[in-house]
Amino acid sequence: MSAWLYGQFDSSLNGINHLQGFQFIEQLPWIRLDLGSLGKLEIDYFLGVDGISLPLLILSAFVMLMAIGASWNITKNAKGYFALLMLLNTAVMGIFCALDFFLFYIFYEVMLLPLYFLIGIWGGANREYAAIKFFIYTLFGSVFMLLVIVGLYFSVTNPSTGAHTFNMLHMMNPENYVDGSFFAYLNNYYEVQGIPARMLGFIVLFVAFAIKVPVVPFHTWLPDAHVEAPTPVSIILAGVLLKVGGYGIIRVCYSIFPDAAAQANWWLALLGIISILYGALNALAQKDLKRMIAYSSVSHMGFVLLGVAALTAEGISGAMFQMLSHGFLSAALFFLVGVIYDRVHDRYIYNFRGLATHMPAYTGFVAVAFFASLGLPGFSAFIGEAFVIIGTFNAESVGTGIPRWMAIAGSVGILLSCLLFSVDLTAYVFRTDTLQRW
Amino acid sequence: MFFGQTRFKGGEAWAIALTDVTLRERIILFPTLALALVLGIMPSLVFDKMNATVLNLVTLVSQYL
Repeated sequence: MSAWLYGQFDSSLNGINHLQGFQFIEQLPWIRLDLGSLGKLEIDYFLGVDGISLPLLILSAFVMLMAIGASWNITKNAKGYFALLMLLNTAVMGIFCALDFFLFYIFYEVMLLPLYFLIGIWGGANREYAAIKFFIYTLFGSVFMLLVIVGLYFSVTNPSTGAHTFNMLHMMNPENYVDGSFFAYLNNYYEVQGIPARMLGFIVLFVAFAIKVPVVPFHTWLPDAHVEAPTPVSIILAGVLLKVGGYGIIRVCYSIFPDAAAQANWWLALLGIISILYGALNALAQKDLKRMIAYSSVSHMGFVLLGVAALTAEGISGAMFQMLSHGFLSAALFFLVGVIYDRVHDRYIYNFRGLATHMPAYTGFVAVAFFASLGLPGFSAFIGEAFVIIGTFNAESVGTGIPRWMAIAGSVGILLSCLLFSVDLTAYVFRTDTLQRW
Repeated sequence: MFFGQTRFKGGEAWAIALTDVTLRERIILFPTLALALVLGIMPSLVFDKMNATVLNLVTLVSQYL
């Protein structure tokens, strides 16, 4: 189905902020509430696909297929399990297509529910804690997002009917804002604690998506959720759900609040750099394979934020590419950990030695996946990271306010992740102290 | 983890349990890693599809810089 979409997609159309740029549009009026003298409330069932959602749709279809392949060994209540998996799939596809903010929010919330149960019921020993932590973190972000959505609803009118609307495309056009309303471009005197209203809206939405990405100060749910989740859910978490955050930042934060984004991008790039370095250093210190891959995900998603914040065509393309490549590479890595875990229910690095002679084909797959994910030229992660770095270097000359040292810090991040994977693969040959542990 | 003498924490029981990847696992892993290689060599498969959108986004934001 998504392969057909790829074939039918016309790459010359450009989407983002006007209806003609979107393809495969489906628009049905859903809720029309007459508010008397205040006009009408408009909520549409409005879906469309453009160049940013299409690659992610294909990615999620692919990763979902992998996850179903990985759930072969699930025996506990398989019917409920697969029903939740399908619900999750629907919600994710919905998020990537939705062009009505209300619909987007609904899919966003629907996505949390199956994940909560998938982690809480089919997870590992400490699953309740991880599920609750995950749930509270994401809910915290999205509740404030709802406030911003309502604020936007009262600020934006549909030019053809004059009613207030949740249509995202109308929100992207400055002309549709009511003069003097809370999020208006012109005559906007609203401030909260000295922060202009539009900047505040941007920050709130950014935090909601940053929790999903996850960007460093908000990342602590991720390692817990990954470690406790069953293998297929880890695959989906890393492969698709982290991309919802990146997609949200591009589609919602940058397109609806471009003025605030242009001011804030230095800070976003800084957060990206911190994620890259902090994630890589943390991953180096982990003894649990799953936790290690989870932290390396934090590091890789930092590149996405850096690329988006660079605001150059290379940077944003690189960020999108990095999301795709991280999507299926981290899915493959989690799947590989799952292979070992299925067999002996243990995934501590020190508890294994000499797997290469014992499981040669497995080691081959691991080696390819590791090298691909550390950015060996010829594999997809390299292209993503290289384009992000190029975009960041270029950002100074275009004048987007991202200094060059940030690009250099990003390169250091690549080096660290190389170190990480090669240490993992080889260094245990030379370490005799590990033998005394058991 | 992968090189050196084969030694496992669980001893013989683990050595028997740790069979190599099965056909099902190969069927899943192979296309994934192949995709990584294909996209690494031909990134235009993705770049072409999203380029127009990305450029539009850049123009949308950069007018406020």
